[in-house]
Parts: sequence; C-alpha cells; structure tokens
Amino acid sequence: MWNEVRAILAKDIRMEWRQPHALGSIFLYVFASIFVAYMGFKRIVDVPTWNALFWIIVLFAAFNAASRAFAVEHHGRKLYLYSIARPESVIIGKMVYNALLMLVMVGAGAIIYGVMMGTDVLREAHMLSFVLALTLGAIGLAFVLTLIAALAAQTDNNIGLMAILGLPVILPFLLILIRFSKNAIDGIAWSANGTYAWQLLAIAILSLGLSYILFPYLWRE
Amino acid sequence: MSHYWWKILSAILVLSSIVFGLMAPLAPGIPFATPDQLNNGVTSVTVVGYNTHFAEAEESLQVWVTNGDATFCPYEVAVVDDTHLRATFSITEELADAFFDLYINNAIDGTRHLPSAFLQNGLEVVDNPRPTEKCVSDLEAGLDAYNFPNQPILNETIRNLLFHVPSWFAMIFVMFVSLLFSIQYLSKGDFKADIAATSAAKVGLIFATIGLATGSLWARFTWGAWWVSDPRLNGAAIAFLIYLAYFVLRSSVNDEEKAGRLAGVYNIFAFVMMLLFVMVLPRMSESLHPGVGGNPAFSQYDLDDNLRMVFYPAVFGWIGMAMWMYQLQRRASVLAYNRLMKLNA
Repeated sequence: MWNEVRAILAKDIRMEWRQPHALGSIFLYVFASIFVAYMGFKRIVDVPTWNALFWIIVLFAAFNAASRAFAVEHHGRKLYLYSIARPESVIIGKMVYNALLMLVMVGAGAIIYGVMMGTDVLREAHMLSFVLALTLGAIGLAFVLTLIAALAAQTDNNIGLMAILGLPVILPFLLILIRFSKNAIDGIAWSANGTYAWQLLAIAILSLGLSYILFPYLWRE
Repeated sequence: MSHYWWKILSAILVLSSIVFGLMAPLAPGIPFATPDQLNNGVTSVTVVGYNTHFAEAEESLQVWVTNGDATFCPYEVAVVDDTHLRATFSITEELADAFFDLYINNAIDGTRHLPSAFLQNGLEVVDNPRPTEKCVSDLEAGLDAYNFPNQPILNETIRNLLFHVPSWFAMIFVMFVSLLFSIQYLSKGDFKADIAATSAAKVGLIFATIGLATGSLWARFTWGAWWVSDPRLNGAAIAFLIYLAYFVLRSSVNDEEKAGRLAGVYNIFAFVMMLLFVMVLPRMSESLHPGVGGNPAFSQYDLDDNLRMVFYPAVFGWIGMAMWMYQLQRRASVLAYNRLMKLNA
C-alpha cells in the first residue's frame, strides 16, 4: 500500500511540475486575495482581525486547491488509476499531496501576508505555537477537504457544491484553528494552549480515518 | 391495532403537551419589588406579584424578608389588588449579610419568594448578629394547582420547554436513524435503505426548523436577541446547514444509485464532524444555553414534578410523531420509486 501511495504522490507532483500554470494559478489566487485585503485594510495592528483574515484567505485558497485534486483527473486516467491501485491508496495519496501543497501555500501565504499587512502583531507571539498552527492548519484543511472534493468531483456542479458541502464540515476545525493561532500570536504559553493543538490533530487524524473507510464507496462510477 | 398503538399514543401525547403547554397557568410568583433597597430605619416597598391572590386571600397574607440569619416582618401591609401590595419595614438591628430574600405566604398561593429581592442600604453589618424575634407562624400550604413553575427570567416562556426541547430530541433521533440507514446502504447496497435514510433526514430537517424557530423565540425573550453567538446555537445552525447540503448533494446527481452513495458518504462524514463540534466546542467557551459547559440542564432543579409529568411524555410523543412522519415519508417514497420502475419497464 505504501508503494502505491508513494507512486500516486510522485505522479501528482510530476503532473504539477509539468503544468506549472495550474499551480501558479492557485498561488496567484492567494496573492491576489492578500493584495485585495491589503488595498482594503493597508495595515492591521489588531490581533484578532489579522489572524482571522489570514485564515479566511487560506480557507478559500484551500477550497480552490482541494477541489482540483480530483477534477484534474479526466475520466480515462481515473479508470486507469483505480485499476492499478486500491481506492484507499488513491485517497491517502491525494490527501498527502494536498497536505504538501497546502503546507507550501500556507508558508508562502504567511510570508506575503506578513510583508503586506505588517508583522507588528507577531512581536509577542509564541513563535513555535504559531508555526505549529500554520502546519496543523495546512494539514487539517487539506485532509478534511480532500474527501469533500472527491464527493464534489462526482457531481456536475463541482465548484458550487464544494463550498456548500465543505463549509459546514470544516467550520469546527476552522474555529479551533483560529482560536489556537490567536492564542499563539498573543504569546499564551503552550501549557494553556496545547489542548487546541491536540484537538486539531485529532480532527485531522479522524478525517484521515473516515476518508480511508468511506472513499472505497465513493470512487465507483 | 397491535402494531400502531404507539402512533395513537404519540398523537395523544403531543396533543396533550400542546394543550397543557398553552392552557396551563403559570404558578404564582413575585417578579420584582421596588425599590430594591432596605434602608436603616423605615422603608416602604411595593411588591408586584404575578398570578397571585393578595386581595382574595388577604386575611391569611404574611410577608417577611430574611437574609438567612435574621427575619423581619413589615409593621404595615397594605394590599392594593391581587398583584400589588405595599409593605413598610422598620429595621434598626445589626445584620450579618447584606442581601434579603422576600417571602409571601397566603392560603391560595402558598409560599412564594423572590431571592435577593433587596440590598441593605446603610444598615450596620456585623459578624455575630443578635437573633431576631420569630415573626412568622402558621404558614399556609396553598392550593395545589396544576401549573408551570414560575422561574425568574423565564416567566411565561417556560411553556416553550414542551416544544423546543422535544423537537431537538426528535431531530437527533431521526438523524441517527438516517445515519444508520446510510451505513446500511453503503454496506449492503439495498435501495430501500437509501430511501429510508433520505426520508429520515427530511423529517429531521422539519424538526430542526421547529427547534431553531422556537429556540430563537425563546432567546429573544430571555437573552434579549433573536440569535446570540453561542457554541450550542452555532452547532445547531451548522447541523441545519449540513442537512441542507445533504439534500443539495442528492438533487445535483441524476443517477439515483450514485446520489445515494454520495449522500450516504456525506451523511456519515458530516455526522461525525458535527458530533465533534457539539462535543468539543462548548468546552472551549462559555455558553448561555442550559446543559452546556457546566450550565445545569433544566431537569436538575427547575423542573418540578408537575412539569416532569408532562415533559417526559411530551418527549416520547414528539419522537413517536417523528418516527410516524418518517414512516409515511418512506412509504410514499417507496411507492413513487416502484411506480417509476414500472413506467421504465
């Protein structure tokens, strides 16, 4: 199974590399949203606003990125994929790939956001917790949204359904994430803030397990 | 008769809960007294009652205030009407505590009290107060009436307990039924299980709407707003959105078999996420809602035995009604499905 997952991961990365415009469009989306926010706000010194705006931009970017995971596979290649690999391997491979993509996107997004919106709010931050929030946020958003993307890809109304199905499901994760990240920026110690990180991790692992169980019922056409 | 007795029973129980909920009077109570301070010396206060019988039972009327250690009776009580009276206190003693509870007793209403009705003002506070004379005697039990308990803040809105809470119980029940049928459909592929899951979700959505509407109404009259940002309320809204999304997903796929599979997968995934939301989030922040984050639920001390006798049957009746509605909906859907199959054949 791990070989299959690795092969799918390698295939997805190679595909992305050969069509850089697709990847570029996602990064452009993040950059454009941050730029629009910058035009609207100029600089943000208020911690809750800075934090919430960042995660909202990341959330929509994540929807964009995740919805591509299955939409890029056209019909013939999908059939080929499922005939050589188990469906469990396909979904795990896609989830890991999405998580990697989101990690790069959140990292780059955080830097651009910091440059544009100012990093004054981070002066007293508990940096380790904040980096952990970025990491867990990227991985969790990718994990939860991959199964939703697989669902939406099976319908005719891919983009619209993605938001309708995904938003209510991702909200608990997002609320905990925003709280954890805000506490990290406020410089609250790990002892008081750590439970949120465990909750985020728990949701990510839970969605991994659920996707593993449910995806085999999903992929058949 | 043998296998639809529960439908008749649920119908009777729901009907009786509606009749009781709308017709039974609220127990007598004391909403407030003005001014809310007792001065050193003579103070005259106006006490306002609700559903009380001050004038009708004037001979047996007794009024007193107590702070736990000391009890004082007014030296003059003037009854205005059934719901208003003026009491004049003369207090010069040294006291241990600053808050007074107000008590009123008469032959019809029994003993009613308003906790922390008065704050002392200018009275001397000491550690060891002198004991006061006993000024209250021969309390009347009051007439035992079938009514709603009179709770501060809730007042008349306590009737909503019989509609709001059972509707959420019924919703959770049928949504759970829907989840079980979704699991069955995914594992067995039996189209009837898919129809059952959809029917249950439909009925659940109706009860969720009732629950949201009654809850919003209740919030307006107890918390002052139609909607407050509260973990429990947000959880309810998200549950509602999830099941709306469930139907959007179903209707956006034309192939019945495929729609069933997709909806089943979403049902299971979303149910687990919703459970997380309901379990984890309320511990993160304070909630106004009873039964969340350390707030006691109503049953702990607000429900008296009168209300208990109606509330639990009402819950049973509403769940039974939901199951009945689900059954009808499922049968209608199966008939429609069979007809479609016959037309195609």
